[in-house]
Amino acid sequence: MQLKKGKQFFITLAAFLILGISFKVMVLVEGLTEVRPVNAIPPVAGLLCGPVGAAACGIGNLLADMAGTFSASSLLGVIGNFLAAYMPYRLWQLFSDEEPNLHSRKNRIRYCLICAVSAMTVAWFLAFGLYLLEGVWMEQIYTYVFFNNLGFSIGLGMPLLIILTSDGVQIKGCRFRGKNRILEQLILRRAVCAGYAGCMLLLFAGVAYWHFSPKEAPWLLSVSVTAAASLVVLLV
Amino acid sequence: MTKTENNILLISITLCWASSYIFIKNLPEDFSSYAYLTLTCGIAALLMILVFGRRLRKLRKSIWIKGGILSVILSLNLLAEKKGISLLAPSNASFLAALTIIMVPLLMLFFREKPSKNLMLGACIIVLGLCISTGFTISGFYSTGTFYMLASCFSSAVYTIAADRYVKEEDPLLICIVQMIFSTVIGFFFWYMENPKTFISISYTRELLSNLFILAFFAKAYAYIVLMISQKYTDAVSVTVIAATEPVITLILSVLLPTSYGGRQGASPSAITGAVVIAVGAVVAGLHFLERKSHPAQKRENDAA
Repeated sequence: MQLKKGKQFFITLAAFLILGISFKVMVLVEGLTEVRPVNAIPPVAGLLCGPVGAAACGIGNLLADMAGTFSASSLLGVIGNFLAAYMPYRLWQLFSDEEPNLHSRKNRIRYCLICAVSAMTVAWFLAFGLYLLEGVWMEQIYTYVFFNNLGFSIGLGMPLLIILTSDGVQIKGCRFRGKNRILEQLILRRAVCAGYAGCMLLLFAGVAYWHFSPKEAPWLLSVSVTAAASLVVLLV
Repeated sequence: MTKTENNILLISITLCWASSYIFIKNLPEDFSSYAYLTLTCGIAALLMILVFGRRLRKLRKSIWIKGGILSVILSLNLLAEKKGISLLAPSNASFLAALTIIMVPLLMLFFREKPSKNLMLGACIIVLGLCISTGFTISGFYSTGTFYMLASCFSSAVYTIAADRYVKEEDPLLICIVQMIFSTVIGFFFWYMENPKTFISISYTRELLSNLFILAFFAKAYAYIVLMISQKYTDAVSVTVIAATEPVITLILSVLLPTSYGGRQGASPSAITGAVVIAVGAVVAGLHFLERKSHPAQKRENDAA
């Protein structure tokens, strides 16, 4: 079953709104973040609906923010949630010719790795974005966003994807119809992805393990610039 | 759907049900359990109709009947459980509630379906784990509460077996939608009998609505859709075994959740030991080593599967 794009958009948006607004009561950092099971939706929406699902997640997050935590940083949230859905879609297409499914162990491992990279990306984007835009560094934001994204996209997103791709529901995944000219060769794809994952791991270790801030360790910003360049190559 | 996919689904349901206590705890103390049933099932039914509305065209009389039967059994289970909990000590009530894991294989024997030896051994180990984690003592069982809890347990076992049969004959999604609609109607009937003002008797706060939506989405819509679909690919005992691992998930949640939501409270040694024994029981139930020893032909079948 392949839903029409409009229906894909509105179903994703509605699910995002219901979950996003409901959990506004479970605040972790006042005005910024909360316990977010809604983070299970972006990877699934990205894999099954592609850019349409990603757009619905971004807009859904903005509308949900209007019910409590709306501020200038909500714009970062829009891009962050768009990335959380668009990255799994692009990464899956870069490394697999299959439609997104979790029938095999290989695919389940691929899904978990993609979710880990996406979670690190969103956490990095939001924490460093806040630092660059408002000059505020909050390590908590990085760790909460990371664990919210990773935990819920695997713990809830994985069963959700299994259900939606099962014989009973049979929603077909979205195929990337364009051509990635830069990453046409497999070896180049692997090199860029490995470099990007390396940058993300370095940032994760720097922030979550060594507890550095960009002020104390300016190399975090240099790594961020490299990561941003790789991200552009991966996504565009 | 593969067995691993199915197990992931069943674990996710257990996760939903184990975490739902956080939100139930946040409901007002005087909130009627019939109101809870009506509102959560009603919201869940609406969500399902919105998402899977197109499928409703395939609704047949047999689906209405089967969904209706399931909702009646489920409502009986909830009502008996509610009465039993009010008459028994919490540890005894939770122990009796967990006896479903024994009741399901026994009922299956009644239908001449023999569960595997591993499943039976696993179920016994899980019961032992439940005894440890609930602080079970052989006292305080001589009351009407025990009868109600056993009735709830029996109806829960019948529900699992009936659902197992029905979803293999009909569309699981449609059965689930019909079940939610009937549960809403039954809940509303009892709510109306209890308090004729029903919806207008509630003071709707943002927190209440949030909790109701969360419970409707996870504990009802998501959990029952997933349960019905996964039951199509597995047997009733496997479902009960994975559902019985709830204390393990609760223990993990109590470590992970922030203090304000019931987490970080520190687990008692008996809860940890019980959880470990339950996990061992679930693993034993999922393996086939007893079958392999006794039936070489079945071993070949298992290997092929």
